[in-house]
Amino acid sequence: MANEKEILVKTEGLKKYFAVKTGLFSRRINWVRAVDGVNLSIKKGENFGIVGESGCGKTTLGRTILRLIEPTAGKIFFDGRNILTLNDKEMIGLRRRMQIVFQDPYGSLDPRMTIGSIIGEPISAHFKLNRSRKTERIFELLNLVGLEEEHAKRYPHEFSGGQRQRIGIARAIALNPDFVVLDEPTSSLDVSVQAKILNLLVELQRKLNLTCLFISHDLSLVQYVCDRIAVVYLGKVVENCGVDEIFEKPLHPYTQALFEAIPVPDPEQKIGEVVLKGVVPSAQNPPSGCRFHPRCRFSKEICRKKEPLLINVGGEHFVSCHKFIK
Amino acid sequence: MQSKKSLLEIKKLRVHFHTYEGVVEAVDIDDFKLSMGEVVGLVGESGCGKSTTALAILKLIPIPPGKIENGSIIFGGEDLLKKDDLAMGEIRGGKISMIFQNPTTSLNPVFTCGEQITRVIRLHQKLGKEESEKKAAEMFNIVRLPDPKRIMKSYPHELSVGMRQRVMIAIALSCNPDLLIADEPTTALDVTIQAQVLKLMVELRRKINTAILYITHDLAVAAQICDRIAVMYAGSIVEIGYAKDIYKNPKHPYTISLMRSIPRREMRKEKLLPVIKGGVSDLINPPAGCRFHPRCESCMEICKKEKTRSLEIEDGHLVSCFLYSDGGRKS
Repeated sequence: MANEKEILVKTEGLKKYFAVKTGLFSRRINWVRAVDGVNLSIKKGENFGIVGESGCGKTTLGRTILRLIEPTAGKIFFDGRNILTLNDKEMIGLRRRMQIVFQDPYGSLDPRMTIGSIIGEPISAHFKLNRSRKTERIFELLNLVGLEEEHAKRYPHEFSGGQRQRIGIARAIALNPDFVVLDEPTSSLDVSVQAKILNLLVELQRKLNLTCLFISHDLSLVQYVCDRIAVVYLGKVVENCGVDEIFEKPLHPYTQALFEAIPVPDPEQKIGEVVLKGVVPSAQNPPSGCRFHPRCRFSKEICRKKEPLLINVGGEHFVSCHKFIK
Repeated sequence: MQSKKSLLEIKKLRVHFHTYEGVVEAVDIDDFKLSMGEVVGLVGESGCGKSTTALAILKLIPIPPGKIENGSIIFGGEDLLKKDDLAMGEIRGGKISMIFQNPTTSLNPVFTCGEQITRVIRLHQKLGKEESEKKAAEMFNIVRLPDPKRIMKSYPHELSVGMRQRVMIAIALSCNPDLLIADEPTTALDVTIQAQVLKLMVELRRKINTAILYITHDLAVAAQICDRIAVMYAGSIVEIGYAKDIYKNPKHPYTISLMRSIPRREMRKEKLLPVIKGGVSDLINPPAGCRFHPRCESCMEICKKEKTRSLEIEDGHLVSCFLYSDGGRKS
């Protein structure tokens, strides 16, 4: 494990279960285990990626880490402090240091607010600045994300998807945070616009010394921006290691299958033959033992019965599969 | 491929939309051919006119505000633009069928999947109830849907997104169309489901030998399935050629920069991705001359004034760019 001091965000056994209610009296009939025992540690200044299919709990995990969703169990350490023990007031102070950029640049900006007030809102919530200082800061942020000062008076509908995402980023960095969660920041954008947003993020990160958590299903994006990656399947981390290692030597059968399914922009390199069969099982009734066993090509007796632990196979490469447990 | 029988030919097609702000010159395609059994990818960013082209082929463009100003779309020897609605109705779903991007909205939620597919079969193939049901079950089998009998009775919401897209493909292929237009069929799906659907389409094209016009913004997906690729920018096809040539040896400055802007792991050390300056030009007042010239790295004086014409620089590789206008064949 890395030195405790370098770690900015750490989770221990983080769980989030959503109750499924039905009937006249909303009786709880089941749990959706969206996040089920996740241990992660994100180092300062690092780009950490969370990848997985839709419905695997990536977004819930990202929001739970920020305590936007109250976790069911587990601990979240931010800069060494367990944030789940903090009260509301202390939490607000901490919010300044952790921000989020949402996936949908159309839904995440209030259509009735001007860009200036959207970006200015976090500033006035946390700092007491007079009007001219605030406007100055808004202009500075707009310039930082590549927009013009005159844009401050306009409304979200006047902007394209890429520009809106820039506004979302400006809002997130308005308070000079240490940690930013980016939930599929470019999934609704075109390749050429995506390239510009990625460049902006890389630049901002260097300038502002940010630690980023990228949540994405787009593996080509993740392998470009991230230093370390955690692959999530049905609420659990199945593999976690450095980006070069995971792409060159993926160990978990799920990671392998996922990577084989990525199309490459090269007509001579077709996607692999072993395509993952079936769909992700419901998180309400996850399979027994290893959650991946019904779709796994190496599935054995033990996989059905016993849940594999996330173990270190050397060089900070963690994998949870019975193949690697001696 | 040139020797093969031509199936679809688009000539001098201009599609305009008349809006309050002005006339949007959405599509301006000079020449585009598709042979029998061939898979051609129509690639470009959002708003470049890919989907409008597809809708124009099926005459599904809303008129007004849309208007097909001139041009011809020859399909199987006949000009589709001269046909009336009744004749088009027979072609749509029969000889030309289409798969849309989002299977959730393109299937009707109040009918079972069985009703939706048998309706198409009965309409176009004039089969009875039992025969069409048999045919439908067979189609579900071909697209690898488990338990066709259950799927027949299921409503779309009871199926996963991947399965719904399979139902869509089954419906589209149920009348053995000559041409299948697939408009971003895997964009709404996850990588693993996308891989399954792509595999299925590659397999089906071998089996059924249908020509496919595959519309996508994802260059990686296009590389997996297409024989030839046409790159569109601001309503026009700027480059067209065999997939191998387009990916290994792109010629048009737009194609080159588009290929470069795909993030790859090897580029991490350089840190910044090469980008295309500026945004997609406004189609209400498109730039004079080459529509790409304001964003082009190698823009010349002539590009600002004159319209480009496509030139064949290699066998089957056509580029619309003045960089290759003299002696382009040699390059």
